Amino acid sequence: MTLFAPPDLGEIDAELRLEYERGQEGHRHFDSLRKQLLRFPAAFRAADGMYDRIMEEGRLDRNLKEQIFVTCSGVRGCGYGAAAHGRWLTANTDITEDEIDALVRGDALPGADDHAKTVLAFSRKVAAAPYKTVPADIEALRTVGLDERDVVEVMTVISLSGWMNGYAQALGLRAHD
Amino acid sequence: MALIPYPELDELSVDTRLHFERFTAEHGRPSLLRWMLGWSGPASAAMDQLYNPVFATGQLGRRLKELLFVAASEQRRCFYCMGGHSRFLVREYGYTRQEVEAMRRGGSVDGMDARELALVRLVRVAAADGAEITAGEIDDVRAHGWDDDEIVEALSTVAHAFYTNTFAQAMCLEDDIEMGDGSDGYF
Repeated sequence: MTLFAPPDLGEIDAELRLEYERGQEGHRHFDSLRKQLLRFPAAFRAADGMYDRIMEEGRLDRNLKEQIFVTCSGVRGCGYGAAAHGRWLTANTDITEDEIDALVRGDALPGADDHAKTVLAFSRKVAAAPYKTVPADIEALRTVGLDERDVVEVMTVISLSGWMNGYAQALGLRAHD
Repeated sequence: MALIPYPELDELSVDTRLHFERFTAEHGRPSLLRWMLGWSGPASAAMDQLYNPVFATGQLGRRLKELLFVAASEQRRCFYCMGGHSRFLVREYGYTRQEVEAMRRGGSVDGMDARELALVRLVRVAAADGAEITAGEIDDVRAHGWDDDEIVEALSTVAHAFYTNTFAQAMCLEDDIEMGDGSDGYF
């Protein structure tokens, strides 16, 4: 159960409500969080803006970015984040709900290559304890072809998942929301 | 030492380089966090949409949100974020180091009222494990006169801490501020 009632859309500033409705196309999978953030427009706009930039731009494959999101949400115990981004994966790729559950548990997907396995292993470690990273973790990423730009991109996805997990958990959002 | 090198100016995208040059002209060099994010244009652009809009707008005021942010970062043991923003509170708002240390741990100092302390307590719980927040704890904050919009705004500082703490800790970013005032660095 959420800790806050979602705001009444009818009472939201008209311009902000329009932004909310326009963003529904690409952000419907985390709609409950977006609705709560309408209470603080800067955070609402940050969520949409960061998500568009980080998840839809850059060099890393979008599918893998969403897998990072689900994996990190699983590590942090954020059922809402895992379910929301799992919904994106099942709607837009061949990944099944059982495979989403496997990602949440920390298992690799069937047929995952070394690149994906290494990135997801790094993501799990960072989400669990970011202060424990060591040069060997970066070296492992380099071994499967990542350069500095890619490392920062992966780190940014992990950090964004932290932003959303932290907010969703604090607001009391759960997997079924 | 950071786990990867910081980008040189000629390694930045055109947009990011222009942003860096503009920022440097107005404020001095970007923070090490911003500098490291410079490897990725989208990451830099995303940060533009996060820090200033979230900290500079809303109902709570910059000082209180900076305080909530250092409380969250202290709970998550991020010395980079806690240290940099604690020094910001000293420099911009006239607190002593001891006052900031007390406040970020949920203690009270002169001029800080019970209402603000209630938010600091909530933010520290959320930063430790948001799933542990109870309806009773939210009611306690409401009883101190905060409405739900303000509480959601306060919790944005926790989300911000999750973002920047994760990045700074995992990349092993160094202390960031050139002191030059005889002070002893981050605290």
